[in-house]
Amino acid sequence: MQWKNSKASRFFSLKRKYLAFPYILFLVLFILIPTLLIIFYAFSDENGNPSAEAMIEFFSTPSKISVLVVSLFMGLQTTLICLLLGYPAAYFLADKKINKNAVLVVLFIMPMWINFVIRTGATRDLLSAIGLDGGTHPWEATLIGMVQNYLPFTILPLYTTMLKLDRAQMEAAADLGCSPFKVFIKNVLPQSLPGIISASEMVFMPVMSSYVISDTLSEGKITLFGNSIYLNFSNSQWNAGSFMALIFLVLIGLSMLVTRRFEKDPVASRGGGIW
Amino acid sequence: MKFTFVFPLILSLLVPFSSFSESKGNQEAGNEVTFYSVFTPNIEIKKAPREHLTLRVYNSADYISEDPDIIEMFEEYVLEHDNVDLEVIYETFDTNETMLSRVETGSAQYDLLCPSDYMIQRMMRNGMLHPYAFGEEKTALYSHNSSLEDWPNSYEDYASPYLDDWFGKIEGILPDGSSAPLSEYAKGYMWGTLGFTYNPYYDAFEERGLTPDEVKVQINDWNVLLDDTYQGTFQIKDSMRDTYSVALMQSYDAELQVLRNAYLKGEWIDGSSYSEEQYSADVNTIFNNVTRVEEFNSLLQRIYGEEAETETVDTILEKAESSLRILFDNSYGLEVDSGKQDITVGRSGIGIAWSGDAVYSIELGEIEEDVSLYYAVPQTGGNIWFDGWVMQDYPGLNQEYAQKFVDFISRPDIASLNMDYIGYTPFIAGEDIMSLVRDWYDARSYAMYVYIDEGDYDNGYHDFLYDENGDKVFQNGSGVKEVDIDGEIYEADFGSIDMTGSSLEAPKVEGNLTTWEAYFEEQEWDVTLVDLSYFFEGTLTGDALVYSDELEEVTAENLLGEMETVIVGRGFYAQYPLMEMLPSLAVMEDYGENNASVLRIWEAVKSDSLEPWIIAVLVTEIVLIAGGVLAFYFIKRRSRHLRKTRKKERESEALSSKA
Repeated sequence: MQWKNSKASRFFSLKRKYLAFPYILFLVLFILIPTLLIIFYAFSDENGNPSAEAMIEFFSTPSKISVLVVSLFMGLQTTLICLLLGYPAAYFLADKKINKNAVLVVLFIMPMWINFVIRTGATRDLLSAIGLDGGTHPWEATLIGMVQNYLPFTILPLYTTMLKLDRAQMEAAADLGCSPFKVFIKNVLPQSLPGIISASEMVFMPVMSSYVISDTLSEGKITLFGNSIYLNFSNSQWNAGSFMALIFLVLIGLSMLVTRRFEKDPVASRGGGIW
Repeated sequence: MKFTFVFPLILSLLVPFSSFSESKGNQEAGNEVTFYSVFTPNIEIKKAPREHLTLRVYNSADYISEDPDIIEMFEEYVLEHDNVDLEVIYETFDTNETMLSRVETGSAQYDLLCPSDYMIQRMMRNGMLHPYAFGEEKTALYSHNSSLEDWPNSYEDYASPYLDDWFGKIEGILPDGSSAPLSEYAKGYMWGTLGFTYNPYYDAFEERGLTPDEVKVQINDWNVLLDDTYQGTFQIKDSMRDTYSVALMQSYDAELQVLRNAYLKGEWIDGSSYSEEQYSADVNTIFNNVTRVEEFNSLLQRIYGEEAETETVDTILEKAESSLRILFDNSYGLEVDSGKQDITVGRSGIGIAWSGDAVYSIELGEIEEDVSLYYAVPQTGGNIWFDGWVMQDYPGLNQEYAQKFVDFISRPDIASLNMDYIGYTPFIAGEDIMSLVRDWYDARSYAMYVYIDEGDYDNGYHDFLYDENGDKVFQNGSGVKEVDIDGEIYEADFGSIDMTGSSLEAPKVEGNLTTWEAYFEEQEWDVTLVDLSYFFEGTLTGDALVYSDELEEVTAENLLGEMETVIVGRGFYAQYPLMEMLPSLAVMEDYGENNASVLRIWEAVKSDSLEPWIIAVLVTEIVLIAGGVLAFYFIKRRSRHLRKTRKKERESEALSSKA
């Protein structure tokens, strides 16, 4: 009997598609089904009958719209500040002359090793020690906390893209007469665009949905979308909360669409996506 | 969270396990003999296979003593007396709402849960609860061992009659529309009030020209939080029901003031008599006006006569909302759990607090931060709450052990362990609780014990002294045992004060018996006699008197600029409110169908942080970004176009040159 063609050999020869099964099972159980449940709850009433009540309530309640706007504001500010701080940092980190053995990168991502709830608690004390406590400066305190928390998430994708920067091209541009500013605009920026996009993706939406940071650092004075959803769920308002969660899903979908548009770009597709 | 409560070490030092082991020893001295002589041999001989049962308990976090572990004690007790191998599966939740959503969605079922008063009503309305069995029904239920000696009716015997009566009167509506008293479905566990923890010596108050006495007087008014002088010095609770109750007290302050004046005078505006019961009922109506609009309107008519405006749920909520908005804007911030530490480190000067958390803050402030914190429930009234054990109605309910657990945990010795560990006030009265209260708060206890100050009598740090056997050491007249820093016991003369005994019997001064009053007077010790018999009635052999040295009578200007005298208190006052305060306290019932409306105003107030400059910044940024992206895109397209045309030109040039 030849082992090669036996049933057993066929059984044991791990076909690659079987390897995907555990993940598919996980995907269905913990991502697909919950998402469908959110959609179901968003468009039904307390008794489970189809209804648009939650949708009408959301769009007719000024406070819910205002939470959405405040969250967008907070998300955008954090993303912009993180990019402004993280971009130069990532550029220098990727420079082999400055950062010889990549030790500095570890320093930048080290804050991520400490649980963010604990870190936020410490930040609260630090901020009140320097007179920027949430009671009197809720916006500043929350922004600082958000940036502190999400900066590593900006630096990492930017850093990986920067590592792949074509330095020869930059030198060529400079040799052919581009000013340093023009080299940056015409060469570095387009090359690092995928990094900027994945960094923004990693910051913008998570900030909107985070609630521990804004709760702790603004002393509960700033309510973000995440807080609002939690408040609804914890008071058994399943339908209203689900509809808000759905709005969130739609926003994520939209932002994905926009960013995909960029990634199709021949220049942009050269770099990696999310690290 | 009111339940997140790790009681400071000092309190566990104050009362060692002795109170438990003593009383247990006394109670069961007789039982033990019978147990070993009768039951143990039987078990040994038969070696009957033990039945294995489970009991699923769902309680608030940090809401039961873990040292000693009461769950373990119960399991052992059941094994010993019922020969049942009971496994208690104990899980915890952080808020009532979390608990409800877990049970509501059917993701888990429990034999015993510990929600708050309003949540018990809501669960009753949803038909989620199973009623308790009483009397013969209960005996029949106890199929494993129904001996009264092993399983006495501790709850019936020791639950404070006063509280049991109060909470028993609260009605819950069942799914079929009929109503039943809460006491059929719930047994009280812990109770307390909602008030202010405050620091009269807070820097910001001094900077604003407030004397500590003024703060102590003005805090007795809920409107203190609306006053400009207190702006930014207080934290409010990020918890809908609690902060809403404060807003409600502020909205109807005038009406509550009328009721209070009538109660103090004993007569109503029109001259008719006004009883304590009536006062209590009227405060309750205002407190629950969202669910009792009709009663509330007739009360308003009694106060204002014909001109009274007719209120509806909407007008009530509107008033509460405007009050909530001022509260929100005036406050330093919102907190649920951090406030009890924040006030001790000076982040705020006033915090809305549950009485048990107040006890924690006061102790923590005293020990760690050297600040003197106080507790107050404003005079116009406030919220009194209780948490109770309920059984979930489901097919596999282990009712026998659920009820046995409640009776076990209601034993005064067990309840005092709980009180000692978590710091909240149990529903249970009895000698063990009284002796713990006296250990903590009675000036006589302080006088009895020798203070050890680690060599420094002026640093204000006192602790009790124990001898090598772990017994408390008392002054004995001739001298005193004292411990030096290395723990060595030596004799030391302690002056002329002469006291004997380990109970609270009368002191001897220079060999002569004297009364405590005379003793305190001689010591120039400001002590008030407080009678707790309202709570302990019928469960004690002696009296329920406590000589408290923490109550102060303070006279100062109130918020209206008039001189007023109030009694202010601290931990003791938080744990057992004075009898005079009780009629003004009310339970806030479940909002029923108005729950969503209350949530909506709460959400609206909390979400009101949108300001014009935010929109301006947001729009500008979006325009800039969109502009940038479009510009980038068009430049790209243009350069691609140019590249293509150049390529074509090159190709045509090449072609032409070829040609």
